[in-house]
Amino acid sequence: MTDTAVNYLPPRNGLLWLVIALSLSIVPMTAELPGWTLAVGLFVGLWRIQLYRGVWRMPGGLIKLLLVCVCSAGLFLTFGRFLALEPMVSLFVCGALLKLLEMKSRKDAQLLLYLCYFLVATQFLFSQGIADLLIGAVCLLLVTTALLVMHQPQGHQKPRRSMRLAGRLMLHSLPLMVLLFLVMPRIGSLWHIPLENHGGITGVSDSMSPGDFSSLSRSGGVAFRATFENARPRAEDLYWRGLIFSEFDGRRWSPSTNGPGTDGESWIQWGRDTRNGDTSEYSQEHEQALGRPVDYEIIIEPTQQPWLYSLMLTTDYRSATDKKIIQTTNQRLVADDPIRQRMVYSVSSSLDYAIERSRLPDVIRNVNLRLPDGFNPRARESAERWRLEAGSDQAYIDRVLAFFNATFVYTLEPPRLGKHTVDEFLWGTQQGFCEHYASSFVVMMRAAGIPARVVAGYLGGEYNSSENYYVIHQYDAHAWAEVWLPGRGWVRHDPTAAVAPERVRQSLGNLQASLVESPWSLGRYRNLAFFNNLRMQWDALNYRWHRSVMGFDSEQQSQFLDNWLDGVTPLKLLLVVLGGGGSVLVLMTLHLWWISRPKALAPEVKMIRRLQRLLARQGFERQQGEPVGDYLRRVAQDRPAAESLLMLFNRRFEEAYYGESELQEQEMRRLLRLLRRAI
Amino acid sequence: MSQWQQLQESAFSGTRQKLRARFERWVNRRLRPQRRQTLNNKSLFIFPSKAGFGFLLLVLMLWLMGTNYENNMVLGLAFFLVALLLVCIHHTFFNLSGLQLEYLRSTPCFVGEEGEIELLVSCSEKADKENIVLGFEGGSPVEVDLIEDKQAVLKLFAPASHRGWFQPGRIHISSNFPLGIIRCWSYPNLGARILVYPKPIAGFDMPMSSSSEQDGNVLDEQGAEDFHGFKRHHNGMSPRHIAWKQYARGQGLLSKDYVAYREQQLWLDWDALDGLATEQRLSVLCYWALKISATQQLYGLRMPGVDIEPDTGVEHKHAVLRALALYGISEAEHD
Repeated sequence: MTDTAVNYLPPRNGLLWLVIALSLSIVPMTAELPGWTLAVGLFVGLWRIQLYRGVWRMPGGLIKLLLVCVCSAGLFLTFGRFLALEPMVSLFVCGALLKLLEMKSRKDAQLLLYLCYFLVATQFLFSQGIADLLIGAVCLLLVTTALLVMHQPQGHQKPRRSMRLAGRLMLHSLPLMVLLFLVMPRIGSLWHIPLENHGGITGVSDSMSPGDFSSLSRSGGVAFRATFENARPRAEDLYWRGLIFSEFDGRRWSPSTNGPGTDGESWIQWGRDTRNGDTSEYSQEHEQALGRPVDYEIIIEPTQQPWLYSLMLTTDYRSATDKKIIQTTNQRLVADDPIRQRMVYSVSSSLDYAIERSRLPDVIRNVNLRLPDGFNPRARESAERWRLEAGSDQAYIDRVLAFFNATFVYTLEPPRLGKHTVDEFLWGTQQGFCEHYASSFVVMMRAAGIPARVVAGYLGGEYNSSENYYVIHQYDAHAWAEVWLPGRGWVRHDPTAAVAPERVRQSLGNLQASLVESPWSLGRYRNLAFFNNLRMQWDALNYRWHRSVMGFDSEQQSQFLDNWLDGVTPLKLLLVVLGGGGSVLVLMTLHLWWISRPKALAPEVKMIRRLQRLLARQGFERQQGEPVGDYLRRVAQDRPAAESLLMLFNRRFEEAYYGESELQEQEMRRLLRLLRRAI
Repeated sequence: MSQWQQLQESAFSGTRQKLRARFERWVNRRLRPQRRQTLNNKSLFIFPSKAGFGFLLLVLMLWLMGTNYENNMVLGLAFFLVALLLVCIHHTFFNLSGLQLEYLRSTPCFVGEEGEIELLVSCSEKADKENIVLGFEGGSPVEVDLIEDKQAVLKLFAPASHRGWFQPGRIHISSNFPLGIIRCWSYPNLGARILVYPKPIAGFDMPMSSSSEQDGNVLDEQGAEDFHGFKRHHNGMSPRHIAWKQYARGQGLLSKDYVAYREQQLWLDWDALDGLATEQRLSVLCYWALKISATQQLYGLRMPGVDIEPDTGVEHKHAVLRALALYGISEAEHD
């Protein structure tokens, strides 16, 4: 039998569901899609609606060809390459849209809905928060409902009923899914797929010019989250180091590129391997950890950059994934590959330290004293004079900081600076953000012959008490200075603290929420206790989600199973899968069986069946389709002795069966007994 | 068809036929004909549909994607779809399980037409049965669902290829509700049979012989059409037949008298078709039986072993056609 005839066309309201499901699977990704796909989507959607209304016909070959050309050209012009996530997703979306336009049969619709499931999965590639989970769940419900409606009879579709049915299917599958999630082995990447830069906030970038940080502070978003295992450090110790800028060209600060080993930028040579945690001879003599280390774990959001953040001085570190981490000679952590996905790593840092206390290698000293010629003449001249007047390095530093403290203003909206940025800032505008202070401070130090460098990273963070962790936002981005003093080594100085000490203790978000948060983020209204609480709870929930579910890797899995099963053996796993999955399915099956079990037979029919069995033993089979009366009369002809009994039985049966009178169960039972003897 | 396909066809047709025969034997053992049947785990088969294998491919792709990007949400989605597939097996199965089929009656047809079988499909009050497709092999399938009404009377059609009792055999019943990824089916045999009349064939002279004992000039006074004369009117006669013209002329109340001439009684005679093959004779007789029935004439049928007295009406027509259909076939053969 070919059921294509019945099943060929998709049900009419199925089409509506399909369009809704498809558009909802695409909408959450609009930020990642080029604008023209939206136009294609609208065009296809319009055509589909007109088709649905019966106004337009199916598009001709020419229009389809044109659309394919538009999409290919668009993809080529936008991306220029195909083997990356973003172009692949755009390609998928285009494919789905074109398929929607030319869809005719149920088979096409089925394929299209599979594509929708795939699109939901690609949503998850871009971001994995709880909000994404909720959006994804809604999408899944819609796609499943659409798939269901495609297989429902035409006239019986009620949107709410269909949705309820689909929801029930999904709920039934939930326990099994959780079980599979817990026990299915994770095997890790099979092959390397480059995740291209897609959105994501770069955060602190690899160079610094005036204005960079103040604009970064407005970009919002989370840079990373940190959990301290034991005691929390003081707020003024939370200087998350990311990058070190030693090179200055008069306007822009950048990492030193001055040959291998000079500034740690060539970390491959100088780095230590994460795995064995070995500390080479070199590092032992130049780094000294004093005091007890603090242990913390960091979950960093994708930055598309390789550097990681940690507190000074890192003594130990470990990556939670198979990404490698390397420590550079200037005590930074760097991943072996740009961070394109959320990444977890744990670090131990000693907050008391001495680095290169006794001797600064000449190469490093030279790099950290170099200033470009022809820039900031007034700053260089004043620095030399002040250093002479001060008498010691420390006194000179205090003098510069006091200078900042006197008349300078800390602002997110500093005026623009010309060629001599430091001169103009120090004796002109006197309004600036952290990068202005750090930059001019380091220039002043170097001009006075003190090795100094700019450090970029984040300062502080927002403590979330419900889950005991810090959220470090983009607006916490900060720049400060490190100065090398003989006998003390590298010492941290934050000139911003001299101007705005409150910044060190409090997040910029708390100080200037209206400036750094977008109007529709909850953070903007953090001065209202209710909203602030809500915001914190939501972030805590997300944090839990990321730590427990998204971070559930093969290691955590084996740990969890070990704890849960008290030692994993293949037999135990099998039992869990069969037992757990089985019991869920058994419960569901029992329910389904209960509601669909066949109707019970009417008691008079049961009676007649008993008589039939009795007579069949005597060789009187009831024939196919033979009415009961005819059958009994046939028997009566052969067994005249039982005729009256049989006829009476027949009458009682008919009376009950056709509802003429109540069933005389006692009497029929008696008749049956009598008949047994008579025949 | 390409040569290669032809080669394959010939090479495997033997094996395929053998396998098919084995399968039929197995199904026959397993699913015995019964007028009233409830589908259950003994009679139902279940397997992923073609779309279901597509679905598995999708799951595999998602699993690869989740594994490669080490993305637990994508992996979770893949596992969710696996769970959905497993859950669907049960939902699809119970969408058919518990369904009751009962053969009600069949309507006779002619060879080459589609025979009609009526059956009752029902289920328990609490269960919904959706999107069930059923039909005979070769017949056009019918879609049924039991959602508001828990029972429905269906008409199934099966092409009748030969005269006599035609058994359309197994009903192919299947459903891929709810998501189309699992298909559940069964081949219940309700033991239905259809009486198939010979195919009427035109183009031969009427195979008739006049009746010998009556001359065919008998007047039938009831329900007649032709005006015959006047009768004196008395109570009980139809007032429509009063001859008002004659009454006006003072000839008294007369009633118009109508009669029909009963035509000569016809006998459709087997022997009048000498020289034709059996089936052809039956077909010709069938054609004329239908033709004469339409004219309200009395006719009888004479065949070896069959003698149906002249009569008219639907019952008579069916008796004649039944005799033609079952000529040479013992009725008990299929009972």
